[in-house]
Amino acid sequence: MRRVFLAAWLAACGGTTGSNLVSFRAMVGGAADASAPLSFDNGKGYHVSLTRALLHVGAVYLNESNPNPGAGPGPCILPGIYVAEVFGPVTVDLLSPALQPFPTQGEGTETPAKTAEVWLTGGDINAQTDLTVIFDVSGTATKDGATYPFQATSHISDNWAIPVSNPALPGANPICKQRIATPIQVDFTPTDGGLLTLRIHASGMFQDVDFATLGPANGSSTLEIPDGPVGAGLVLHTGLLSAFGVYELSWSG
Amino acid sequence: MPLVRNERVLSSRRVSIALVIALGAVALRSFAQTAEHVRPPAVEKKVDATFPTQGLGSRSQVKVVVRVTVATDGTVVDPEIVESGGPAFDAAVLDAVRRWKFRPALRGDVPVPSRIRIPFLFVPPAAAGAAGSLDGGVAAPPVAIAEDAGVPAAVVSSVDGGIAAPVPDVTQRPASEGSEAAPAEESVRGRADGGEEVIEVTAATHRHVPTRGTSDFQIETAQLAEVPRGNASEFLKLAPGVLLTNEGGEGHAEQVFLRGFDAREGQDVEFSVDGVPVNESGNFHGNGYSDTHFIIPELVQSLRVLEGPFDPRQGNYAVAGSAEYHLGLSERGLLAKVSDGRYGTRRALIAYGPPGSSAGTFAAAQLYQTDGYGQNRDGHSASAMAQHEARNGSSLYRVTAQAYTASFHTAGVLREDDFAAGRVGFYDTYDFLQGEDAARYSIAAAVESRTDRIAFTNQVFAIYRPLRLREDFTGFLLDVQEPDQRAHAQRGDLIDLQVKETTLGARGSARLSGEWLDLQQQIELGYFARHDIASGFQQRIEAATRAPYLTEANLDSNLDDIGLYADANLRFLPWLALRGGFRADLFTYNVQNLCAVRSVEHPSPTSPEPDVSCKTQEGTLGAHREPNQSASTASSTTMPRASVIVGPWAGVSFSASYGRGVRSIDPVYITQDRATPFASVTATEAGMTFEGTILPDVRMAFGTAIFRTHVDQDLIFSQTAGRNTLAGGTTRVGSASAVRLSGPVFDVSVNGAYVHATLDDTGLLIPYVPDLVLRGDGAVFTDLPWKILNLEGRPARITFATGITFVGRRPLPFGTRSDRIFTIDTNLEVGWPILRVGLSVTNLLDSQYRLGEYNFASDFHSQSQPTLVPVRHFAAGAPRALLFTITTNFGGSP
Repeated sequence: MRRVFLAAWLAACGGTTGSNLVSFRAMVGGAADASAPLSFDNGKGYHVSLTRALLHVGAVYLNESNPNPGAGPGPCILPGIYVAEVFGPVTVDLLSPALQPFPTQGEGTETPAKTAEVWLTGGDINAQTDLTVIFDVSGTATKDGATYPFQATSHISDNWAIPVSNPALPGANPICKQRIATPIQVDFTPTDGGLLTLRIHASGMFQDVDFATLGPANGSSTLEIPDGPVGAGLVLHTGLLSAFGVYELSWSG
Repeated sequence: MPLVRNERVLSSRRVSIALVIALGAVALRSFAQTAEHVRPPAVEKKVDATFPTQGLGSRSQVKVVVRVTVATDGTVVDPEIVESGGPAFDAAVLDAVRRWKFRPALRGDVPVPSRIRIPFLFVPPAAAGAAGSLDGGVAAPPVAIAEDAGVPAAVVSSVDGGIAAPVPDVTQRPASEGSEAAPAEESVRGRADGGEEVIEVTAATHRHVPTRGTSDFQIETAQLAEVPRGNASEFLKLAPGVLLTNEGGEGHAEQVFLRGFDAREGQDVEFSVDGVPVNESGNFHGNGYSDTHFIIPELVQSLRVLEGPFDPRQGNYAVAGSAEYHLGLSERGLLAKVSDGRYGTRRALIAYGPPGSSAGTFAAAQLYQTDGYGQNRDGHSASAMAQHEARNGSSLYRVTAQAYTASFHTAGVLREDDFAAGRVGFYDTYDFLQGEDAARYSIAAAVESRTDRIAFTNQVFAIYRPLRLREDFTGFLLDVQEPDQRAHAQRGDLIDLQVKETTLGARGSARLSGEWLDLQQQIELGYFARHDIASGFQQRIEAATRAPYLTEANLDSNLDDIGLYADANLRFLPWLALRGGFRADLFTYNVQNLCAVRSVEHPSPTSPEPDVSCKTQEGTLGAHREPNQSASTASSTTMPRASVIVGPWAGVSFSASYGRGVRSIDPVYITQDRATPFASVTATEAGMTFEGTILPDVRMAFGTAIFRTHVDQDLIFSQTAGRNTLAGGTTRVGSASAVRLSGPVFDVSVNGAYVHATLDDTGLLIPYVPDLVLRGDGAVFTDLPWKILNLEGRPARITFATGITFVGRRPLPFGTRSDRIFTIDTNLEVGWPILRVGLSVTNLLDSQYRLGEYNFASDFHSQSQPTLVPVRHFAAGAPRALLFTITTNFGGSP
């Protein structure tokens, strides 16, 4: 019994409840090889050259659930699964490789993160109306000798509200889902004092945009990408929320 | 382990002596003077005589009568044996009676010496097992108060100048029961020959059960009752390893940590008050919820804390142990106490103990209100308790009634990052709707009777307990947008819980005493029965409209617990005792879930139920069903419990204990025919105690133990659920120690416990359970020497009491540790029995400490985006507070 007592005494001097709370820094910027102008070829055969690309990021979250792109309708937030968060807002110049810091320190736990979420919001993620400019972009797309100067000023507001199609599921498509890019696959564990780096590849947003749908080529006026779920506007918005090829997260330290 | 009791120190040996105190008044003034009013002396401090070792083989009672002179200062002088019981017994009596203290006899207002005759009755352990052992020693002489002592009273004669002389004859009312002599009537009669008239006074107390080892603390509050305590739960701190926190506010049940257990508000500690259970079965906030705020602290006469399930009498919820309060009002007469202090705190108490009756007969009521410190901590409460004890021959009857109601607000928890950033103050709140409304009404009746060899007890009780609780741990986090809900933002997480519970029950026992191996043996058979009718209803409240928007639970439960136990108290040798037996309980559940379906994967598109909490659809395309679902189950368990006690030798005893206990499962987890709706605990312990006189007039009681406890299904509090949730198995290993020193002018208790508590599956520490808890309680007291301060012949008395708490850094979720807690509470009181003034200061150092600390996720909209990851939260401890109190006592014999 004496050994039990001594073992208990020594054991009680240490021990943990597991994991740890962590604080970390977070930086965001364009692709590591970004430049102004940023030129690339998209999946529709266009050579795109961006002269301006500013993205408004509201927050980044990491959670411990495995990515499930095919998951059915569900809430935007599932309490209990988040392992890290860092808040903006921060407006990112996607044409610059320079990293800029988030305005606040990130908080989290030393728990493996499997999925990331990038919140493109100016305020309340559930607000029907949000007049924040989320994406401000301009450039030129060329294909087969045709040139399409374009620009887009995107909001994610009630213009993106999806009407209720199933009366049994009136909340299946909340506005918050139009503002969250997820599930972005990650595989690292936050540590105290570490650095979360987010690089955003503008090229990935335009992969499926068919600029010919914007209007006639070689015109004198700049073509406007619709700010809403129409044509190229819908495609660009899908690109903004894409879980693949757009957002790249890494951890160091 | 025994502790000091009423300035008497219990022997470390098992004791059971019937002690009868009888005081009588001598009659008749023989001359023509007008008879002055004469009051006989009254006992203020009595010391039980220790049953001498040499007499342990005696099978019959031994009577010793001693005559003493009570001096004008109340001390005992010149004791002389009048009727001998033998040298050993005579010596024991003389040793004890020299330490007695009286209020001296008064002729008018003048103290006069008096002579009294006091019989001591030594009853061998078997017969006095009815009185029970007080300190649990084996070979030690029993020292107990008999419950049925009906021996002739002592005789009092007053003495002038040390010369025996005829003294005023006083007529006493036949004293029924009481620890002190009944006060004299003013009329005088007596015998012309100066003979002595007797007054019979018997001391009726609660039966003390045989100790179960080192961790069996039978605590008399005594002078340590002067240490500031906000409520009756704080008396638990007199036992080692107890930490009390409270994130729910001043009127909310305390969260109890006991020897490595987070018992929450009582789930793992069996609470009772004179046999009436306090734990609430079926309380949705936590099955076993125990709120002791209805107990008026001045009525707590003693407390038995048994850490571990080692006594077959312990029932449901005795996982970490049990706490049994015994009520009594030692200060007889009409007591009135008024307090006023900081933060608008006011309290008024009146209590009445009819002089001449036992401490178990009383009536008391208190009113309390406070504005609270900081935000949202105001409250009101009222409590009334009444009890009547009466004897009829060898039977003792007791009827107890109790009423309590309270309403208060609570501040809840704050985020550490918000406090650090200056967004909230240390004593602020996020949600002003938090609070609690509670009431409790109970009535109980008990009878204790005995024949020559068998003692019987029976008790019935009825309790009604409504409760409404509003708590907000998480702010705006949990109201996620579900597909079958209309679009909404986060509406708020405030929990509004309503519970109503009616409990009917009974308990009883029969204890047979006999002889075997020339030693006294006992066997007790007992039963316990309890039926609970509980309804629990929990909703979430929208912050903007204060309207409920979600029903999370709606349960009606009928719960039954019937238990039988057999307990043996066997002595194989004078220094070797085996105590224990078995307890068997049958738990039955009949639960009606009125909100059984809260989500449907594929609701009907033609008959949708958006926003409906309790759905009438299920399965594919929302087939119809009723919203309710019934479930019933039953299961029984048998729990062996045993203790071996060896000694004492020179006051030292050794013990080892083993026991199994259960905690019934929350009705919300019941499924049809689930086999075992309870969690099982297995506990072992080994320890050592010492009790004895270490210096003249200084007694010490010391105990130390090591223990191991395993629970197969533990409960961990979930802030998101706002209630306890099932976890896996857990194990606790540790040690606990306690020492109490008492002398003529001081009473000091120090205890501590160190525990290593882990989850079985991961080996990780159980969060929130403190590793190290240290507690010190002390009181120093003396009569002031300046006669100018005397009032009614009584000197002024000064008492200084203090309570010191230290808690080490507790493990929190996510590998962190809390801050340490160190607080000092003090109380200074000066006065006479008829009038006293006191000043108490709690948190003397005015430290800004975190009473509770937690790591979990919450979102109180304090930052730009939802805060979804766990961070530190805390419940603020109370700042320094002063409370001024005036106490008066009329018409009693304090």
